Amino acid sequence: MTPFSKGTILMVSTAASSTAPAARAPRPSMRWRVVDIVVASVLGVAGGLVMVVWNLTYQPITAPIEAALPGLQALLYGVWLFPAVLVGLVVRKPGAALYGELVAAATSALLGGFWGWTAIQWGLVQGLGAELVFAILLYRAWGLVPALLAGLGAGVGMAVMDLTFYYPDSRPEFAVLYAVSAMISGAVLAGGGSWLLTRALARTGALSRFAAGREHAARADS
Amino acid sequence: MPIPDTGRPPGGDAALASRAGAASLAAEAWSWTPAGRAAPVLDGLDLAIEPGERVLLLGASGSGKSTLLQAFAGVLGADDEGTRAGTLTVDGRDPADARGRVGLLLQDPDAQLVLARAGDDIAFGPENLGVPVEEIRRRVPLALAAVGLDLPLDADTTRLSGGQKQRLALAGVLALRPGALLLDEPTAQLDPAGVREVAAAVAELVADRSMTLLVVEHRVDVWAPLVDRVIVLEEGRVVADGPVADVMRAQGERLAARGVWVPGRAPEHPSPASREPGETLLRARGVAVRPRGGEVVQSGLDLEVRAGEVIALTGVNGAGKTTLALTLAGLLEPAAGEVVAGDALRGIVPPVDEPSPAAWSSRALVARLGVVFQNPEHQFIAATVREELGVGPRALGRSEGEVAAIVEPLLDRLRLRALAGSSPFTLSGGEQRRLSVATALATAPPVLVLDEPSFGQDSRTWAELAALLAAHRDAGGAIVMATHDRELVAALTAREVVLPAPAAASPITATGGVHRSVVAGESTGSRNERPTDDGEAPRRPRAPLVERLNPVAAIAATLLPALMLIVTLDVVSAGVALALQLALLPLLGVAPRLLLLRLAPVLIAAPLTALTLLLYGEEGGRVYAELLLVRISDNSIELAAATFLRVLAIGIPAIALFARPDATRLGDALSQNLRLPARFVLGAVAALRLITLLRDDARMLERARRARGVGDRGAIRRAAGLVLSLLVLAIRRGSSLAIAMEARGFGARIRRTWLRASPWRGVDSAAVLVGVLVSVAALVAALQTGEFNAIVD
Repeated sequence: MTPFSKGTILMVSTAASSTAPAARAPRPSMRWRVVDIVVASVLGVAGGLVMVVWNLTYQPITAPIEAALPGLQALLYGVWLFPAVLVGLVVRKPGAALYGELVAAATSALLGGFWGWTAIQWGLVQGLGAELVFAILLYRAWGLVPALLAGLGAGVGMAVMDLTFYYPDSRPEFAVLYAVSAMISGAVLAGGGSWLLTRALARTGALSRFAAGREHAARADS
Repeated sequence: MPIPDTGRPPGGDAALASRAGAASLAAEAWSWTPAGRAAPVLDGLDLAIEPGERVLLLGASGSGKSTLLQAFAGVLGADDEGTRAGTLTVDGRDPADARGRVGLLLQDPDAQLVLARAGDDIAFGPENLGVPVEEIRRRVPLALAAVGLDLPLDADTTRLSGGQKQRLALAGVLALRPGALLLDEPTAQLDPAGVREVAAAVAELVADRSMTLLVVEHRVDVWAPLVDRVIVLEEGRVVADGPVADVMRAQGERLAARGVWVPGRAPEHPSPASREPGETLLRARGVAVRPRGGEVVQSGLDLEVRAGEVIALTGVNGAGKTTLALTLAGLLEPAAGEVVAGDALRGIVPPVDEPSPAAWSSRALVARLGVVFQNPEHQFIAATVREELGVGPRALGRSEGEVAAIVEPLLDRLRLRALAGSSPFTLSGGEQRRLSVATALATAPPVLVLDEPSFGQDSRTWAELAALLAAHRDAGGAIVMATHDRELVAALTAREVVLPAPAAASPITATGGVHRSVVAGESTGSRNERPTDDGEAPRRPRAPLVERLNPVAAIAATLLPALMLIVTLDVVSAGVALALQLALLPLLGVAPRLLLLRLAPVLIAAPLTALTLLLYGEEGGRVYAELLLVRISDNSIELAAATFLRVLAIGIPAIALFARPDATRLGDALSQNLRLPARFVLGAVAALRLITLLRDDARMLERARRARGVGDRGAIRRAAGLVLSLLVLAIRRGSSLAIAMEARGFGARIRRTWLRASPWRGVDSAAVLVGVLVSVAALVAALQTGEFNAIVD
């Protein structure tokens, strides 16, 4: 496989980390609490349910796009990536993005998902893509830009997996179009979407035991 | 870390009494301020509870009762979650060092159970505390008996009634052999039968004073006979403390005013209906009702709903009260018979032609029928209270001026003005109830349908609710409510319609009637296996191979061959692998119908993926067709064929080996065989149990959206709104579950024991080996025929 975009993504995220919101002092604990584990699991499971529904509906939605301009169907595939970014943004612990995506993939597999346990492999690589971005940002930046980048990272993971497993030996035009679409979709749908979702969740008070929720409350007070 | 009682099997039938005896609880000038809050929740609290004492803790919502219980249970969280001052001890020690000495039972029966089978769930706490397996095996049936539950150990925990779930959760707490029982509104979400069950079980347990009892409840009558002493909290401080009778005499009036149900101080009833019922608004004729995806629970029902009357649908759990209410409200189709709206109801704008509410648009519905759901959070869809009240009027196309003219007076009438800018989800239970009724009233529908509106409410909210409903009735509206609440029926002088208990609907035993829909992934516990005492996976003679395999073996037998197969893309290797797999498939013993059902998606996906490569695969050889980017060539045809076979060769074993997945066994195998961190694996397994609930939530959310007037929106907009509500509900349950799990020792830095062993047998190694050999054979065949086509070149 050609790591066609690995180098790019590293550069982009390093450059962007300076524009990301500054780290907040004092440095929050990196240790997972019980509530972190359970809520990350619950969000992962809920994400898995969304994946199952999406698995059953995406073909009719993306098929026309695929027929018109092959490769562009990946523009909607970011739906599979949102658990990674969402769990990362809510829980803010090392490994959260990877864990969230893995639990979501395992849930969709347990529910008789589309690809059985092969989904785990996708979950692993996609989760790692997002996790890597949060790690490069030293688990200190959780704003919109880091969210978009994490989604992009997950998209890279998905593109690598899909092009290796499903579309090996496809023509370069297709591969490039597919990969770029996957990355854009990851950034916008999974990254931007999860950022919006986290904000909306914080507003409901459901995240009061998480820094992500308390920061919002503090902002609302001031 | 010192752990009391572990590993010392007590002598004789000392049953579950803690070796260390009842625990003492004490707080001295203790304060707790949660992170992000300016004011402390508990403020300089002084309190001492002696071993074996039985105490009822009272106070208005927000007075810090739950926080105090969580503090004694040692689950308030570390310093980044809040600041504390003073001392708080269990047996004179820091609660964090006294894990297992204190057992905590919470309100929501669905957010406390961790595992799919009853016996496993009871064992969860002792396992976390490293209690030896033989000792756990002894405690589990004792705990089950102690709460009066007669269930097989492999009973499916999703199928129990609320009262049964709550007693099972109590058994899980007892299995820790705690010295103190802390109960946080343990009966608030139960029907009267469930309340009696749980209260009786607790009474039995604390009768000999072998455990200290601290219970938070606003229903004094249930607990007064059980306790010696009452403590009243107000704004984080103790304001009264003494024997029940004394405190009630001195503080009764004040407590009643703050919403506590004080015996002899029933909330005021509204005056009875001033006039006779008028014309018929809604008529049910020969109606049979069934919940979605369930069986018919009632049939042949006739009912007339007339203007100015209140109808109470009563009956035991499972009698179909809610189902009938939802059917009358046009949110469920009747299974037989018809529900017909009267002329007065149909004549409202926007006009409708259809007589049956189930056929109406969401917009037509919201003008005619206001629905109040049991859980208010199911029906909230807006970001603020003010917007929430405007949802219905806006759906009816009212102008902004008209919306304001409706919303602003409602804010005052229901005492919600101070909260107008808050998210509905941040409100207290009583506030949420008022808001949910207000949203239904906002479109002035003639008929109000309510599901258990008074459930778990404090006396103040109850009185307000009764007054609101009476006002609606007296203004000529009709009310249909499903309820267990005798007092509400009396207060509204409701016409009672008692639904008979259905023949097969009592969710009493594991194998009884279907109480809740069960997802495929969790259905394994529901088969009629004999309970097993050895804690291993239920063994039946000649269980099919697919159920005997260690789940980790199944994963390995799936993934290793898949990783080998992907190095080449050619017809020979994929074809050989697929042929061998299909030959081996019958050995697994999966029922053909189930297999086909599970495989259906991949059977659809494989040709679609192949089509992509046919059209856009690398070209080579003769080109048969060409259009824009499409090039069908010899090479792309071959690629397509190879891809088709390969997707099947990778997908079929992966799906077949997990045709009957069992989350508990998988979790055990991942932790014990693969040595993945148990905290994370168990967290995921616990979360998986919530799937059934989430699916029911999703259905209810969808219904609520229809009832609120926004059900006519496009599928994508509806789905997006649904996801947020679903996540809020999931996080709330998850947060509560986390407290329950932590109180049961989850996350403690102790080497865990496992009641349920996950053995790796010869057959497991064989399965992995066969999987690998199939791939090797396939690759060799490809190399031999010269078809090997490396994907990385």
